[in-house]
Order: sequence, then C-alpha cells, then structure tokens
Amino acid sequence: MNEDVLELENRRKIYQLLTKYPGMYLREMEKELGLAIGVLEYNLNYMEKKEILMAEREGNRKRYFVREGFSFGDKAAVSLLRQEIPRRIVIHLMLNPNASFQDVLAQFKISKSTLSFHIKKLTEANIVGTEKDGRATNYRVLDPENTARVILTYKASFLDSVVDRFAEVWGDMGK
Amino acid sequence: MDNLKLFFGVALLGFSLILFVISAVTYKRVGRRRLLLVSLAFAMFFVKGLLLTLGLFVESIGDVFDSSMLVTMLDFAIMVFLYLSVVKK
Repeated sequence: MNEDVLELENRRKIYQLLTKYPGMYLREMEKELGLAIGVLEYNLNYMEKKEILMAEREGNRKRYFVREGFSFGDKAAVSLLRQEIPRRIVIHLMLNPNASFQDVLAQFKISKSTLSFHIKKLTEANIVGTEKDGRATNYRVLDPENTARVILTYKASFLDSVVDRFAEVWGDMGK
Repeated sequence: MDNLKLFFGVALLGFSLILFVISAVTYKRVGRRRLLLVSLAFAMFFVKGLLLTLGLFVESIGDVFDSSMLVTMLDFAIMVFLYLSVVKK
C-alpha cells in the first residue's frame, strides 16, 4: 500500500488531466504532465485495472478516459477528506500504519485537542481504526485502497482552500 | 458625510456576509463549536451593517440605530461570541 500512496500524487494528476481533457493519448499526457513514460504507463495500467480509467484502442495507440460512475467512496468520507488536516493525517497513517497519537502529533503543527478532534471524526466515519497496545493507542487506515481512491479524485476548490485557512486560523484559537 | 457612511455601511455588509458564509461553511464541514460562535459573531456584524445601511434610507431605522443603544448591544453580542469562541475548550 505504501507504494500506492507514493504514487498517489501522480495518479491525482493523471485523473485530473483526463477529467479536463478526456481521450488523451499516452504521449500527450507525457508532455502535459512531464512524467516519465514508464511511470505514466505503470500508473495508467494500475488505474485501468482498478477501473478508475478506461482505454479505447485506436490503431496502435490508446485513448484514456475516466470511467463513468466511478465510485468516490461514501459521502462522509469524502466530506472529511476534503479538509486538509484530516487528509494529511490519513496520508500519514497510510504511510505509517499503526502510528501512535504522539507519532501523528509530532508530524503536524496542531494542538493535541485539534488532533483528538480530527481523529475522533475519522474513527467515527470508519476511515481510521484504533488498536490498543498496552497503554498506547495506535491508529491505522481501515480501507487504504478505497481511501486512496477518494484522495486521488480530490481536487481543492477555492472554497476548500478558504475553509481550510479559516479552520486553521480560528480552529486553534485560545490554545 | 452620508456618502462616506454609506460606503462603510456597504463595505461592512459585504465583508461580514463573506466572512459569515465562510465561517458557516467551515462550521458545517469541521463541526467545531467554536466555529459556530465565530460564525454567530460575523452574523451579528452582518446585522449591524444591514441596519447601518438601511438606516441611511429608512428614517425610522436610522433613528433607532442613532440612539446608540442598539449599536452597543450588537457590539456587546459580537464581543461575547468572540470571547466564548476563545475560551471554548
């Protein structure tokens, strides 16, 4: 799964490009994204296999499209992962499964209560699961594959960025 | 003088509406109570801007607003909401 997460950013770029310009060829995407052809092919094959994209053969070349009806995951998960802090927590947990609260806290410039709040929301939405290890609690992403899909298709709108900044400024006030 | 008042009234109305919408959307997404309080404070700013602007056109509203009691009450409400958002755990 770690490998998947590391490729997530490339897949996000591919997904967004094909949403904007459906039917692009491999070479066109290579030019547009500046990715090595091998990396591009690997990710396109992966996304085709996972039924995120579909390809139509045209002679020796293939045109790529985003598959219609592609599932974005459930509404609550999408809504949570649109927020920057929960999304970053989840990505961290995908890269470091079974990280402790302190491990996660060390990664972000947020207060303990803010982290607790977001982890509580993530566990309530069944995105993150907990595991007791003596006195410590460890966290992991319950369905990394599906969560990666949601993150993959996420594209920040202007409102999302404004909301993130507002939550960052006002959310930690008085701490 | 009235033009200047109108300018600031409309500016207050516009900015407070934008900030109210952003804070309300943030509260809806994030769900933290302190964001609700901030949102209420901006809503009060919006009410103040609305009354200030309307007061320039409708005499009866202008009279009530000029009495300054209402202004003080609105300012007090804004301060209370902002204070509570800061002390809220």
